[in-house]
Amino acid sequence: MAKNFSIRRQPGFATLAMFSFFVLYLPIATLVVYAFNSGTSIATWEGFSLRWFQSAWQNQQVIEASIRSLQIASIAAVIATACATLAALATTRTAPYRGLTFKYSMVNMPLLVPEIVTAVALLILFSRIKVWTGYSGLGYLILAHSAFCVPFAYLPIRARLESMDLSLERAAADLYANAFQTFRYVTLPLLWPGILAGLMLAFVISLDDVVITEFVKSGGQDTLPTYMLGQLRRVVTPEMNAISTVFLMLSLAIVTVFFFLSRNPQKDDR
Amino acid sequence: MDQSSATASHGGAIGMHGIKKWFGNFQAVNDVSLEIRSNEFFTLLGPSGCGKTTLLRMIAGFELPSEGSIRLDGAEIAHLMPNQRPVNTVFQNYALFPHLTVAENIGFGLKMLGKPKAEIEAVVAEMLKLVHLEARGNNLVTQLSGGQQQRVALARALAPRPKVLLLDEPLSALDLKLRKSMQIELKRLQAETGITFVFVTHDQEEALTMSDRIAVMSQGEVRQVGAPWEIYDRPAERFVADFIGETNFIDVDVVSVGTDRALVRLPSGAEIPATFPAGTQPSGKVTIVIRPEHASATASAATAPLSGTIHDIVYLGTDTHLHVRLADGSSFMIRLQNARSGPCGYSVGEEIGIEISDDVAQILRD
Repeated sequence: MAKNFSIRRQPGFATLAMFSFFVLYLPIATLVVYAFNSGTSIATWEGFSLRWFQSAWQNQQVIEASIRSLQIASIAAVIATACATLAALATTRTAPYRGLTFKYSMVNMPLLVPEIVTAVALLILFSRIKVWTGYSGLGYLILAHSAFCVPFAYLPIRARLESMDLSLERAAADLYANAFQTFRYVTLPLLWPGILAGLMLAFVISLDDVVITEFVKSGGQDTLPTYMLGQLRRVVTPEMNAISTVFLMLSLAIVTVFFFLSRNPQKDDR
Repeated sequence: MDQSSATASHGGAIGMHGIKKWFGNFQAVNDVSLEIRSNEFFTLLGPSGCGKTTLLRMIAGFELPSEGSIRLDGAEIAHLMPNQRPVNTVFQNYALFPHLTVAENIGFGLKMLGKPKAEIEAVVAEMLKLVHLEARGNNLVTQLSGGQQQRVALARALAPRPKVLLLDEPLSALDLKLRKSMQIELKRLQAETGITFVFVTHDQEEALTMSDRIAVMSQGEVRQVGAPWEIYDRPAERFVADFIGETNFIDVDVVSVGTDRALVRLPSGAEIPATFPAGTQPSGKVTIVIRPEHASATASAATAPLSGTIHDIVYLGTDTHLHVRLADGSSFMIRLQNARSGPCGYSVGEEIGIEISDDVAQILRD
């Protein structure tokens, strides 16, 4: 019975599916379309133009916020991925012991803790540190982003490690590789796609974070998302649409690469 | 480890004493002591779960014995890490590095030992030739067939010239024909390299074909160690006799015991000589084994030591098996070699006598 049942043959399935996709992507499609509007409205179409892309490109604030976003995302992604790799190795390349499950949950906890809670906690902590040290640079944002990106980087790396054939590392040890050589010549090359996937995921997550950034940033430290949030409170022009469109394309590109890297983790291994 | 020509290296000797291994409450290996000689093709044979692979992994260093010592050429190695032992393994699933080429796989061990590049290249070329894969050096291992991967795994393990090569059921993934040719191949490699081979298998035929000596294991213990013919013709106990080949068990009475032969009385009253395991003193009621090919059928039922009625005839091409019901109700099998073409000449229900060749009966230790 289960074999013959196919949801695709149920009446109305195709219609419902199309409708769901339509509802999901209509807002985004509208946003992208109006990025090319020649008028100043985000709701009335007046003709095709690239003026808002040009205007965004020439907006000093947008450029600064973009650079800051990329800076934070790159550094935070690298730090988070490094931590996540170590965590993944420590939780998979060991005999099971009491407290291992607890460690898994500790690493993944940030996924479950409401972001606003983390944001407020960091705000309070960092304001203390700011008073003590007098430092008010980008470091706080980078640190905060690194922290909440760890679980995102951890997941693909751990998945890759778990699907890896343990006898390969045993074979390396058998062939006179010490622990470091085994990691350098066997584990790391095989883990590399997982690490890249983790890196990209962390990068994308950092890039579009609003809540934590909004709470932690000092004056003049707007990232692109918080800058856009600020602009929305004032007059909204298709410039916002244009920036969002570029942002969307960048994320899409990264997610696509991530998809190809994480597909069939063992495909090239056997 | 010296680097020298293929034939000059000298295989290591392994001595294991009082090896015990527990996994939690489960005892995988129970007090095993074995001497594996230099340059020997030694096989650990037994059903799955008998502890043979655990024993092999302890020689490799992947498991540490709970108790006991492992010596390689007299030096204790039981506590060393796998990379500190001049011992290499051919894994059951080959465990080839998928991101490296055939040549890089084979050269891996030498590279880890820090050998110069020229030397690695020379050894890799030599190894490729040894396993007949000269043309495949630059291929990724994932592009090779199962049999070729098997040979790469062998070459990779042989390249650093280990003193001992461990083989963990390396032929089990191959089809029958390939397995047969690899058996011969392995034997040749062992002879050419002079490296001590320790081979793990559950396949008794494989063990008999290739080994210089065999250790039969069951439930974590070594049941018998000996040359293939000793294991087959002179099994020390029922498990060994039953696990290897087909056999007939007959309950007999010991009449008298000499230095290396005892006289036993068959249920029919006939008396035949039988060998017995060293160190035992058979007496009273014992069980003897007679291999089916060591018995033959004769028309004169009255004078033969055993007699009975044929209840089944199984034709197998090379042989014909006669299943005979003896007077006491037990079954006895005779293997007739089909030396001529045509039917064997016997029929079901026929009364026959069973002749037993000289010196083939073996008394089992109980």
